[in-house]
Amino acid sequence: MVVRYSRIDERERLEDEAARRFLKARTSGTDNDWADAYAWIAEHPAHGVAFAKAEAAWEVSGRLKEVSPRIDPEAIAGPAGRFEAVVGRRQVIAAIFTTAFVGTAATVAVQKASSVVRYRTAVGEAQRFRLEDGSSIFLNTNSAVEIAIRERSRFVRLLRGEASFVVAPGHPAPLVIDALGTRLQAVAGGFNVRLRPDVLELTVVDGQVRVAGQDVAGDRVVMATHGAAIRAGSVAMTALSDTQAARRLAWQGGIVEFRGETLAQAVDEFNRYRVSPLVIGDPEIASVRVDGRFRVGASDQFIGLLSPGLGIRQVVGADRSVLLLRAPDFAEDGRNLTLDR
Amino acid sequence: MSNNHDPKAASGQVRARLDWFKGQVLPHEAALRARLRRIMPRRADLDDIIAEALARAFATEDFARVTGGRAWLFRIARNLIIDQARRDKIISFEQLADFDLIASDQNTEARLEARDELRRLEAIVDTLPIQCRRAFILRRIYDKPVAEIAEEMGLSVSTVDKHIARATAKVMVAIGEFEEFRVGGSLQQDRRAREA
Repeated sequence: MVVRYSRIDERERLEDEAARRFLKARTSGTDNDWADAYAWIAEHPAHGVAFAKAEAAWEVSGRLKEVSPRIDPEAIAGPAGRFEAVVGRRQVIAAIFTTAFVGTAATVAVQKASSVVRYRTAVGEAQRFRLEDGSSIFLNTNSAVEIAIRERSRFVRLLRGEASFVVAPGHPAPLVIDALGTRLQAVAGGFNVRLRPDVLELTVVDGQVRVAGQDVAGDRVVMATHGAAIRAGSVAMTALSDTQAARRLAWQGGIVEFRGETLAQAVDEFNRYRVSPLVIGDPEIASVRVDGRFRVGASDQFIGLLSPGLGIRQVVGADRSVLLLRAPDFAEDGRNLTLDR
Repeated sequence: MSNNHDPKAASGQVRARLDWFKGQVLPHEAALRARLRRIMPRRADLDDIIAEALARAFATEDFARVTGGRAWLFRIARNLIIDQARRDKIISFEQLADFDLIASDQNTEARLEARDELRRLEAIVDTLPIQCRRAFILRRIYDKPVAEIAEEMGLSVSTVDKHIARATAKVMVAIGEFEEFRVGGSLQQDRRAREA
């Protein structure tokens, strides 16, 4: 027998090596790298087979581009990928199950993945999803989760954005949530998790949530009507008044509410729901304070109210972004704005 | 041969061999696997025979003259099986007769539509781990440079390289595994398009 690569793990190693060599040569494109690859192929026919397969895999997967124009490139910026958007989860699963298997490494991967469910929302969208164990997840704008509910465990990974959880009691395992490395656990109850740029914001409405610490002694428990800011293993808890808690959950009713936030903060908040951003073009107006309640999708109305109230003018860019600038004849500083409607 | 002393010519030969193998042999691996599976229930035996048959096909001395890749690959596999049957009694000669019957019928399976292949391809890529999938999509579909992907994902260049290689290897496996996954179809189309 000629074959040296008869064992499965050896073959896998060979496949990886072939892919690596092919990609190296293809990326650099230099004669040297290709000569290296060809020399490796000449060592053994099995190298040639694996290398030819790597090339074929690369060529064939280029077909995926055929479906890409239908997709906003932004949609793949999220780790959950774009396949849900194109194919629809049901179709993917159907494709997986109509393929006949014998137990193979690829099959195991397929089966493992098929019991992980991914949900995502687009910018400006919010949607509630019910899980197999009776729990529910409400995703705010531009958010994504992966969910694996098993007999003896339930696991959710928050990939981006913000989600409210209602955890159904009666399951043998707590619901474990991984949010960019921070681990939260709840047996029952309701809470909201938001991935802010530098901090994870937790708001517990009902029940309690355990936050896993960096070390064994580090577990912290956040009780109902409390909020927590979590960063790099440190957990800062604060009691929340009813109105504070309600404001953090107002998005579920499609509302954003400001009570003395700066214009910069308000713009950040609205931008979560906008495809083309609001941009503050003048640092002097960034610190203006804002009060009011708005529909999350009504940022244009918000801008409209800003203009006469504060002498802020808007310039719409070619990409439909909106630049906010101080109107030239408006020189006063420190004015606050109340825009209740 | 003098070619062996000239690196350029040697490279050209390997290139020609790779192209021949991709166009003529590789598209039929999944079909061979499907046929053999009926007479070789043990996965390890099946993998060994197929790996060996592919390696021997790749090593075909006068490859340029072989234009019927499917028949060639099946013949190599058949000879291997006969050798093995004599030695190890993995399969009986009755089963081998079945294999001959099936192998001679080239049109037993209907061609899948190109869109089915695409759908399967998507399903395969969708099973990749998240970071692996994302790196692969950005590289392969959006043609982003590895350095840019590394920056965007907050990973090192070598990690992104590894993810992309892993994803490519997964698709490689799928090409040989899934009988209905007619990667060969588009390979042959590519080839025809190039020749046209």
